[in-house]
Amino acid sequence: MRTVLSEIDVSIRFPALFFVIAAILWLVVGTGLTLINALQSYQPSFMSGCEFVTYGRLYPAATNAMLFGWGCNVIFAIGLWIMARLSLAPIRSGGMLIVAGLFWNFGLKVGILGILAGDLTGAEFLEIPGYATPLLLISYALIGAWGILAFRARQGQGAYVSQWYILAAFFWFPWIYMIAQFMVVWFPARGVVQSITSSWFAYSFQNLWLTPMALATAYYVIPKVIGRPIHSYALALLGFVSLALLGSWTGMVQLIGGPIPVWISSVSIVAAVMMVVPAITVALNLYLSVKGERTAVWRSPALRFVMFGVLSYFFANMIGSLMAFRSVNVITHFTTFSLGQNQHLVYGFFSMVMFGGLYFMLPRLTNREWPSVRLIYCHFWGSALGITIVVVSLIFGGWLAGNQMNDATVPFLEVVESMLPWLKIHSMGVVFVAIGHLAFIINFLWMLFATGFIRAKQGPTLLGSANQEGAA
Amino acid sequence: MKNLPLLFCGILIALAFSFTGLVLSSYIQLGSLAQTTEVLDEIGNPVAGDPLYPAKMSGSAQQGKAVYTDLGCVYCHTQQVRRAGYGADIEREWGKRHTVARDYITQGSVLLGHQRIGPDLMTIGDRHSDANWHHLHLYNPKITSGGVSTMPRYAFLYETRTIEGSASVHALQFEADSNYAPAAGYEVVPTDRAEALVEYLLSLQLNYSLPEAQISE
Amino acid sequence: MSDEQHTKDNDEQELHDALMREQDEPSNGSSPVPIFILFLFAALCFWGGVYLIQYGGHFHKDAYTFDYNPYAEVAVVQVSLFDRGAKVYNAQCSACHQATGLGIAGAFPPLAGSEWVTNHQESLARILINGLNGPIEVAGKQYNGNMPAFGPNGLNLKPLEIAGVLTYIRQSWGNQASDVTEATMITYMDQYGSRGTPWTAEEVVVDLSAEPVSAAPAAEPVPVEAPAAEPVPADAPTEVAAAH
Repeated sequence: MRTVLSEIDVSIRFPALFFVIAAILWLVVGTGLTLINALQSYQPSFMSGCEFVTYGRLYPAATNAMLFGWGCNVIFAIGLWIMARLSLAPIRSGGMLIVAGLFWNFGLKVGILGILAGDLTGAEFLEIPGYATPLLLISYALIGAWGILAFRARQGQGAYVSQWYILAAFFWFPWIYMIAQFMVVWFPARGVVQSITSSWFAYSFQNLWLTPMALATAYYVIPKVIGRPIHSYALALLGFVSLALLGSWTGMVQLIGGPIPVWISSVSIVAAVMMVVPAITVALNLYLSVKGERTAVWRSPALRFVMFGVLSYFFANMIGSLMAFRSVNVITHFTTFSLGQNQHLVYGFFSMVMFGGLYFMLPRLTNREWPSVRLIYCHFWGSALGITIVVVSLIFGGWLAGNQMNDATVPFLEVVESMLPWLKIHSMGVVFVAIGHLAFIINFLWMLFATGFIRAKQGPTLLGSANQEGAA
Repeated sequence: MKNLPLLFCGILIALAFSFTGLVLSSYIQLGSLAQTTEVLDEIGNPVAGDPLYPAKMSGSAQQGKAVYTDLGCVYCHTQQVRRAGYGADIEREWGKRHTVARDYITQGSVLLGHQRIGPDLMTIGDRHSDANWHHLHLYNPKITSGGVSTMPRYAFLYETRTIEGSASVHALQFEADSNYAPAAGYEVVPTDRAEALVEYLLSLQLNYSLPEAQISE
Repeated sequence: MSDEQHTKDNDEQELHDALMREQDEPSNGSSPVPIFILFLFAALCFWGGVYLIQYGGHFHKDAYTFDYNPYAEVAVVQVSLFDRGAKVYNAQCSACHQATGLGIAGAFPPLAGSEWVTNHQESLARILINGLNGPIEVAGKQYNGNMPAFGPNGLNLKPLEIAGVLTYIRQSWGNQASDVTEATMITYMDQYGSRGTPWTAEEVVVDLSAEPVSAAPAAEPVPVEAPAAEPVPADAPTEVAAAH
C-alpha cells in the first residue's frame, strides 16, 4: 500500500508542485494588494494619484487574486492529490494538468490586469472581465475532468468522506461559474435578476467550492496525522448532505432589505440559519476525532492549522447564521461586519485549513522536511493573530458603524470618522498576516531549493519538543 | 458511501434545487417587468398618455455609468433605498420611498452595492443637483466634507492647466479662500470622463412613484 | 521488510521517510449521530416553515413589505375626465398647441377662445379621430397645416383619453362648454374610426347629428388641480410647454 501511495505521489508531484508554486505567487500578489488596500481605506491619499491603483480597482483585484489565484490553485493542488491518493489511482499524463494550470493562471493574469485597467464588471467575485473568463472555464474543464477521472479509476467500492466533497465541488464549481458568467457578465439579465444571480454565485462559491475542498482536506489530514478513524460516518454524511442542500440557498442574505420581493430574502434567511446544522455536525465530528490527542494537535504543524481552521468554520457559520436574522441584519448590513465575517470564513477557515494541507502534503511530494520550526511558528502566529485582529476589528467597527447609521441624527461623516481607528487596527492585522505569509514562503523556498543539510534532515518537523515519535 | 449513482444524483439535484428556487423563479417573477406609469388605470393597465417610469438614461449618463463601473465606485457606495422602518435610509433623506425591482430594469448593469463606506447614491442627483459640487467632490472629496472624507481623490479625472485668456466655463469653481484651489493663473478643468460621470450622478433621481411603491407626501 | 533489506535500502527508506511513518489511509468510525443534532435539524425545519409563512409575503412578486395583501387594490386612482385630459394634453398636444392653449401664430391654431372647440362635439371629435388638413380659420386668423389623427388609424388613443382631452380643452383657458363623455366618444369612434383620410375644414362641419345632451359645467371650470386653467395674459405667449 505504501508503494502505491508513493507511486501516486510521484505521478502527481510536478502538477501539484506547479499549482502550489502558482498559489504561492498569487498569495504574494494578493497579500500585497490587500495590504495596500487596507492602508488606502483610512489613508485615501495613499497611491490615489494613479488610476490603476485606485481603491475601487485594487479591492476587486486583491479579492480575485486571493480567491482565484491563491484559493483555486491550492485547491487544485491539494484536491487532486487527496483524490488521487484516496482513489489509489495515479494521475496519468500529468503534463496536461500543467498545461491546463498554465492556461488558468494566464487567464487569471489577464483578468486581474483587466481589472486594474478598468474593465471590471462590478459584480462581486465576478469582476474578471468577460474576455478572460472563457480561458478560465476551459482550463478548469481539464483540471476538473482529471479529478473526476481519478475518482472513476478508484479501486474499491466505497468512497471516503473527502472524496464525496471533492467530487461534489468539482461538479458544482463549473456549473455555478458558468451560470453566473452567462447571466451576469456575458448576457446580463435585466434588472435585479442580475444581482440575485451574482449573490447566489458569491455564496455558492464559498459554500459549495471553498468549504467542501477545505473540509475534504480536514477530513483527510486529521485521521492521517492522528492515526485514528474519523469519529462518526453518520455525522460525516449528515454534514455533507446538509451542506449540499443548504449551501447555495443562503446567498440572498446579501440583499435583505433590498429591491427584491421579501420572499427571496426570507428563503435565504431560513437557509442561512439552518446552516448551523452542518457547522455543528462537522465541527463536532472533527473535534471528537481529535479528542484526547492534544499533544498531537499542538505538535503537528499541519494539524494546528487545520484545527484552527475548523474552529473558525464553526464560529464563522454561527456568526453567519446570527447575521441572517433581519433584526441583526438591519445593523450589520452594508458595514464592515459582513466584510469581517467574509474574511473569517475565507481566510480563517479555508486558507488556514489549506495551509495545514500544504504542511502535510509538501514533505511527501518533495521528499524533504520543512527546514525551520521557527518559521512555522512565525507563520502560524502571524496568520492566527492577524486574522483574529482583522475579523474582530471589522466586526466591532461594523457593529458600531451600523448602529450609528441607523440613527438618522448622526451625520454620515461622523460615522466615517468613528470607523477610522477600526480600519487602522484592521491594517495591523493584515500586516501580521503578511509577515506570516512571508515566513511560509521563505520556509517553502528553502525546502524546495534545499541545500545539503536540508536534504539530510530526517524525521518530521514538529513544533514543541522534537524528540518524540509521531507522524507529521 | 457505496451508492455512487445516488451520490451523483444528490450532487446534481442539490444545485439544481437552489438554482430553480432562487435564480429561475426570480427570473420568472421579475424578468418581465416593464416600464409603467405612476398609477394604473381602473383595469390595471398603465395609464395611456402618462410618462413611463423608470425613464431611460441619456447617452452621456450611460457613458458616465461606464466610468462609475470602471473606477469601482460600487465597492463603497450602494444604490438602493431600504423601506421605512428598516434602517434609517428614508429618515436620512436618501430617498422618498424604498426602491423596488422595477427601478432597475432600464440599467444595463445593476450596481446595487454591498458596502456603505460612503452614503447611498440612489438619489444623489436629487440631493446635490449642482454639477460643480460633484466636480469638486470628485476632484478632492475633502473639499466638500470638511476634510473628513476617506474617499480617494479622483484628480486624474481632471486637468490643471494655465488659464489662457479668460477662465473656461467648465472650470471648477472653488470657494474664495479654499486651500484646495489651484495656484493663481491655473484652472482645473474636467475631462470628458469627469463630465460624463457627473452627468450620470445627476441623473440618479427617484422622483417618481410606481404602482407598487408610491411616494407618500 | 526483512533486516537485510532494511540495511540495503537505507537510501530508499530515507527518501520515503515521510511516507514510511504515515498512518493508514483514513477510515470512518461508526458512532451514531447524537440525538440532539437530529432534534435541532427538525426544530429548525419547523421554525423555517413558520418563518416563511410570516415573512414570505405570500411569495408574491410585489410584496416588498410584510403586510402586503395581494388581494388589496393596486394603486388605482379614479381620474376625472378633466384631469385625465390634462395629462393627455400635456403629453400629446401641448407641443404644438402650447400649454397656454394659444398655439403659435401662423403655425398652430389656438384652442383658447376657439369656436371649433366650444361648438359641436362631433366636429371636434372628427378632427381628433381622423385629423384635419388644409386651410382653416380660427379666431379670425388663417392657418394651413396638418393635424395628425389620434384615432385607430393614427396615434390610437383610447376613447376615454380622447373624451378626456376634449373635456379639458373645452373647459380650460376661459372656454366653457360641456363635457365629452366616454360613451359619446365610443359612438363617434365606431362611426369614424375606420376613416382613413383627414378632414378638411369644410367637410368636418357637414352632416352633424344632434348634439348629445350632457350637463354644462359650472360657471367656471373647477378642476381639483388647476395646471393652467387661468386665462393666460396676452403678454406671456412664449411659454414653452412640457415636451411630450
